[in-house]
Amino acid sequence: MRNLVTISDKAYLEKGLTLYDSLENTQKPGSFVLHYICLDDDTYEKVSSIDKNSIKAIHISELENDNFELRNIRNISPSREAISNGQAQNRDPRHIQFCWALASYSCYYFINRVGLENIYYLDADLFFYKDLQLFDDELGDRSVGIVRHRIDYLASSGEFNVGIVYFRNDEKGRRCSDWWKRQLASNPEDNPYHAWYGQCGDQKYLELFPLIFGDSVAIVDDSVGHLAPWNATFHDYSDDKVVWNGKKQELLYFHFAHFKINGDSYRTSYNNEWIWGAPEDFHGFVKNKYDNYYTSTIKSRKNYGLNDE
Amino acid sequence: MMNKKIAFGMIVFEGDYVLEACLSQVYPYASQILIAEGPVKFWQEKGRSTSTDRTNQIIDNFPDPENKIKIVHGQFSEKDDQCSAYMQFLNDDIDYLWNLDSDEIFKGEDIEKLIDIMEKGGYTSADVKSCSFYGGFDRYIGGFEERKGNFHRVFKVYPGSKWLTHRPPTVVHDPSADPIPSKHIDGDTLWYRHGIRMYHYSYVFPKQVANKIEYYEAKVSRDKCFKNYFETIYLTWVQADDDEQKFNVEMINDGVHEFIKGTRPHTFTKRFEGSHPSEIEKRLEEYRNRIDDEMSSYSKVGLECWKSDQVYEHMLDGANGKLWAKLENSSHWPVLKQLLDFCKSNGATSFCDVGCGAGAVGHIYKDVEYTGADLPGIVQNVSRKFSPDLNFVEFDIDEDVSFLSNYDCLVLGGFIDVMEKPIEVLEKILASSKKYVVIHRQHLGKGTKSWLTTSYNNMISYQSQIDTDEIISIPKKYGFTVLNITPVDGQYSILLEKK
Repeated sequence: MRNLVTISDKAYLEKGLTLYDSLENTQKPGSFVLHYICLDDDTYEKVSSIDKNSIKAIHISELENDNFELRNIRNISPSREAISNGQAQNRDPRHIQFCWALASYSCYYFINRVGLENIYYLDADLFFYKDLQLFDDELGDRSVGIVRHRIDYLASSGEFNVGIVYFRNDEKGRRCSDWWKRQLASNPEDNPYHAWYGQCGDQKYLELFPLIFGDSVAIVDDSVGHLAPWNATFHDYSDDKVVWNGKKQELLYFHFAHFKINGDSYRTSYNNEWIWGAPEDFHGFVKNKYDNYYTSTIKSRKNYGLNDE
Repeated sequence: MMNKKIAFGMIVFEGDYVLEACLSQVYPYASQILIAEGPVKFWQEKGRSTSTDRTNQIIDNFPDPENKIKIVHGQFSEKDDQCSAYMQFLNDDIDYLWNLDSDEIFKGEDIEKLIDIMEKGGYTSADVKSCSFYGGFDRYIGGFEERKGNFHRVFKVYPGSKWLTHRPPTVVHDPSADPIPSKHIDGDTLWYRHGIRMYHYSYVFPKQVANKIEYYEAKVSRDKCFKNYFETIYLTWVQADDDEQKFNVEMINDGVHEFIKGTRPHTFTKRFEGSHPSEIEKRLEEYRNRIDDEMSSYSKVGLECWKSDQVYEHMLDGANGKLWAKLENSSHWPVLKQLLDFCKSNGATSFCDVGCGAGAVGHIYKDVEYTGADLPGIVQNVSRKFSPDLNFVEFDIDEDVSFLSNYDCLVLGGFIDVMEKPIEVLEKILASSKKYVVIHRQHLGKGTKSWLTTSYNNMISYQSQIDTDEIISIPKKYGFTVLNITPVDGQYSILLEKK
């Protein structure tokens, strides 16, 4: 059984439920449970109303009351990055910092507190095309799994992407998830890693996983294809597969970051921020995936009675 | 069953809380249980010569069919001396010495597993991760308390081994011994790899915590300990109605540990999800009843220290400049004076100092009709003592405040700032205000909220922040205009005028 976790508030609910539908369509029946951490009451109510064994709503207060350390993250001094993000999004930087901590915290919660045998953290804006067995085959018996951004290295965002992060409930998996959580839960000024690795919320800390936990960490890159708007132009495409480092790979998932439905069409960026070019214009393969994601999102909206605001 | 011999060594003084469970849990695995009972110097100076609780009754009468237990009753200079007192009984054939406090419990299977790990891995010492229960049996202390290395507990020993020190527990060996090379296994490895930890009932019972804090403050680190810890943190936490309020208490000092925040990492609590050791499980109801009994002797700690008669002496000390600069010498007085001068020059003659405390404003701001207003207890025990010549009225913000409309200017110095519901209080006052309102020393920021903090003598109090938009919009609702907002020492002073 694979235990998956994603997190969203009401604004991201349609993305989270589109992700869920993609999982229902691609994973073997009975092979997974999506633990859906709901950041507000509306989200909790909606997810709770889905009467299926493969999705389970968990209110954020459950995690916060389990461990007051998490709750306190809403109060610790926001980092410089959280402040600048807060200004850009007109949101409280402390809330942004809290949200950044949740990926690591949810993994820690399910592994170290609930005791599930494994956990796959998934960003809510992922969409799956294949069974996660593809990921597991490359992961092997290692305790932690991470993926690359697949772009030319940018120090500010690091080498690895937090879209999918895996932990097995064994000694190294428990230690690593606890370590990641602690980086996000501590005051920036008390954390020696923060100045360099805290530049991108929770994400850049992933660079330290292989350095600290060595061979227990799998960098899943060789056989698993995954796309995102930032890396679409770094791939080639052939026979309905992505080509990475000269090797054809099955596309496991697409990370549809910054995707927004705009009336009868959609946008793939907030404000043309993808400096590598518009991903949908690069190749018909990519455009086709975006079109399909748009259709799937509209379908999920209808299925779950979500409005388009 | 393992074939290695363990001696459990315990020092104890008035530790009857979970002592019986502790002994019962280790007895089957012990070759020896060595106990040194009695007070260290700190307690001797308080007139104690032996435990006065049930400790002696428990250890002296504990069933010992296999003759494993040796007890020394005595008086000791310090804990090192106490540890050495039981070491004289250590048999030469003992393989491991297990240092055990009377509130530390290990699961039976973990004792076996740990010795097996040490034996197979050639380890000569082990520390353990502590699951330190707080205020009962449902939550335990995280963060700093769980760090590896905090609790060194198990040591390989040889004939003639001795205690070097209790802090941290360290054993040295006789020169004639031929010890295997030192090799340590840490608490993180024992927990993450093997699921072994210590169940530590150290902050569970009120009397236990009160004694522990008294001793630590006096003998270990007074400067590092949070003043008035027992009342402000422990009692308030245990008395809290729900998780929300418990968390608010923990926010005061970054968790529940007695060391002041900033001197240690956080110690926020976690919910306990596992099972207690079997000997604790058997007695849980009895223990919970004991907590209830002990708690019944403490009255409920108020969350607004202003309502406690414990605060009066400290308020007088503050006004007399014993705690901080007198008002007239403070950095914020010039700001307040400027606003009062403005009101006075615009025709205000009668001033009411709402939440006046000692009445320090009336002392130094002359030539106006001054009236101080505060809770009856404060007026009688603080205001009239400090300022016998001034005029005071007794009032409570929860009751009728229509008398405030008699004054031209209301001065709210750090008054709304200590309210749980600042907007409710602000609206109530504005509804009864005639002309000018000076809100002096108020937190402003994004969002209106309040939280628990500490005030005089570390007694508990609320602190509040008013949303920067609401400090404009709420007065407007009552016909007031904001004339001035001046930053002062991280807070603000605000002048409102009714048009």
